[in-house]
Amino acid sequence: MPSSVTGDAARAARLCRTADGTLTEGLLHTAAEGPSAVRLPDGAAEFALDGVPEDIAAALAPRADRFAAAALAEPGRPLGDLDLTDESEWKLLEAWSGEDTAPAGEPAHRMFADWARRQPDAIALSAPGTTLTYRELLEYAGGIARELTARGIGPEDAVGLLFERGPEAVAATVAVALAGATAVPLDPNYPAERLRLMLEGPGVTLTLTDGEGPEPPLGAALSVRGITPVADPLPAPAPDVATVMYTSGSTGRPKGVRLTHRGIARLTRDACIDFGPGDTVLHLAPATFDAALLEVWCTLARGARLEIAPPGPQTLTELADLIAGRGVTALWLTAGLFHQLAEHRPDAFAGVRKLFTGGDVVSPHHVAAVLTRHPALTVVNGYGPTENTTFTCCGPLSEPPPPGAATVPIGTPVHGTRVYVVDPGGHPVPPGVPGELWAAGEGLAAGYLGRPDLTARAFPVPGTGRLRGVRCYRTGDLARFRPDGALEFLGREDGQVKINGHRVEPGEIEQAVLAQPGVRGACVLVESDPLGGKRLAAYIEGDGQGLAKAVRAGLRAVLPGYLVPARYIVIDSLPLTANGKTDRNRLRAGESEPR
Amino acid sequence: MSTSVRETTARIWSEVLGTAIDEESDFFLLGGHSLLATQMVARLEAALGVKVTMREVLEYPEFGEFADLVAERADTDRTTA
Repeated sequence: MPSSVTGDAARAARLCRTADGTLTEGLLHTAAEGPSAVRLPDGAAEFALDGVPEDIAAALAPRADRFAAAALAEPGRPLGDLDLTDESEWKLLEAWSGEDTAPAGEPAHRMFADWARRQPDAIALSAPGTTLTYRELLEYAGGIARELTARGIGPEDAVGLLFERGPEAVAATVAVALAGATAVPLDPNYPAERLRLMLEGPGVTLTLTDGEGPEPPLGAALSVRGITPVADPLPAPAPDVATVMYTSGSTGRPKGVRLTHRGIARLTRDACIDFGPGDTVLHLAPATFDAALLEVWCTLARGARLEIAPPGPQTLTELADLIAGRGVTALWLTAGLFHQLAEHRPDAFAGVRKLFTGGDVVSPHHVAAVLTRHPALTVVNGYGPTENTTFTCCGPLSEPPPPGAATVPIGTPVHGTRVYVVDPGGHPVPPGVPGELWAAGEGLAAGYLGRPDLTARAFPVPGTGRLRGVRCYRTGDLARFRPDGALEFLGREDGQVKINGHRVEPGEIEQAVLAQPGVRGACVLVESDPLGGKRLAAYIEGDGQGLAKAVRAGLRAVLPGYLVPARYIVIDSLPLTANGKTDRNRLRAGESEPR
Repeated sequence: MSTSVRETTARIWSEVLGTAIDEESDFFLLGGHSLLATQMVARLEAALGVKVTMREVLEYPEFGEFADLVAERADTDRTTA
């Protein structure tokens, strides 16, 4: 110390030296100064790299020189537009980014129909009291599809699916695909108001039901009970959009993500998702959750058996008995549930060969525990936002992570998928540097339903740089490549959180709290629960003993269960910052406990 | 005997919710969510051998009525065992 570089290189380096002074933070920050606000000065000056560790300063200087040279070559160009990678780095990044040149193969429901011809008597699905062979499921679904067609449902018409988990729900899902229509999975436990929003967006006029649950709040209902099967049905031409899945939106309205047949089909071709005849795959995810696409389609498109868990939440004992008792060999568990099962009933995985988990940060400790106990098991950390169809990356682990490992890598891109780690200007960052994870390839959603503005923002097609012309999805997740090319998840860029695998926008919940009678102000925070998980806490400005209970009841009438806060704190007034905003730090510090 | 079943149930609620429990305490107002409910049921089963379904947790969110159910089931289990 002090290392120093001169002139414009030093200017760039100085911009880099922010936050805690590290190289990586610095380079990210450099680009963050863009896109157009910061220009290199024409005067040469000298800046000492004080406060920057020696090794980082040494690594920074040449990059800063290159950066400055590039900036000087085109002085009018925004700094945020400058590339930080050299050719050899880019080659490496390209190799790590995966393959998106997958041939556009058959959609999953056609693959299922092929299996039904190859192994008609193999069991396609089973549930307590029910078993359907591949032939039976195809013919049942074909019968439902014929009814849909008879009612005027054609390609890309949206059809609601309002079922508790069960064989009818799966048959109806297959039927909608056979009819060439777009599936809109719903949850009968959702409030009617929420269901109405979900039906309204895609213009659903007909909803399939089992005739027992609630009626759809919009459009007609058709029960799939007692429908006559059709022998050897022919799938209709498969249009683009297969299904609409909803995620929490910060504006108070859920966002409908239009997912494609290609996006689903690419999952069925992934080497890591290797279900096949002889496998029994658990169906536990709610149909409204994109993990259900993995469970249902990767099973039926690969000739395996789908074991359907009974409706409703299961206790750990019920779940362990189901996995062991029904011979489940592969399954998906949301991270929180995986951790609990690994702790209380690790014996449940004795017959399992592949366990997918994710939806939130996976704990290396629990992965190590189950892998040590069951050496034949592979645990896969499955990462991906709904907008890139269930999985973007998979990180398989068949050996326990080394003791002291802080994270489980999210691995490498799935089939037909590319991933990039980029700076705020959308340019790939050098290997090992943290940045935002962008995805590209076959899995990308067609966009958000009725929201071209959101779609354009979330699915950019860069006009310049390394990713020029590549349609991407900005995940909003921070990640970096490890030296072996596997990706490491580093957290979120914004305030968005995941609770129990569900994306949660506290803003959406705050709006719903504010709409409740007697509420003067509201703030919804994510906090740790006593067992190390995450939960939502609603701070409510208002009076009265019964307010907490009334607000919760009111929220349950408009929000799906995963968006309803767990803890309610009624206070006289929300603490404010000097700027008049709710002081979240003081709320967190517990300065406003209930009276 | 049923007093100790009640005390054990209260202790488990208190552990998973991280707060003191009285008869009117509502599991889903004091911070309980589905994974904590799963955990509570698992601990209850381990400590008392009493099985409670997730649906019952939703049906009896107040401690008083939930503890009655557990106590009743603990008694039944003993007489049928």
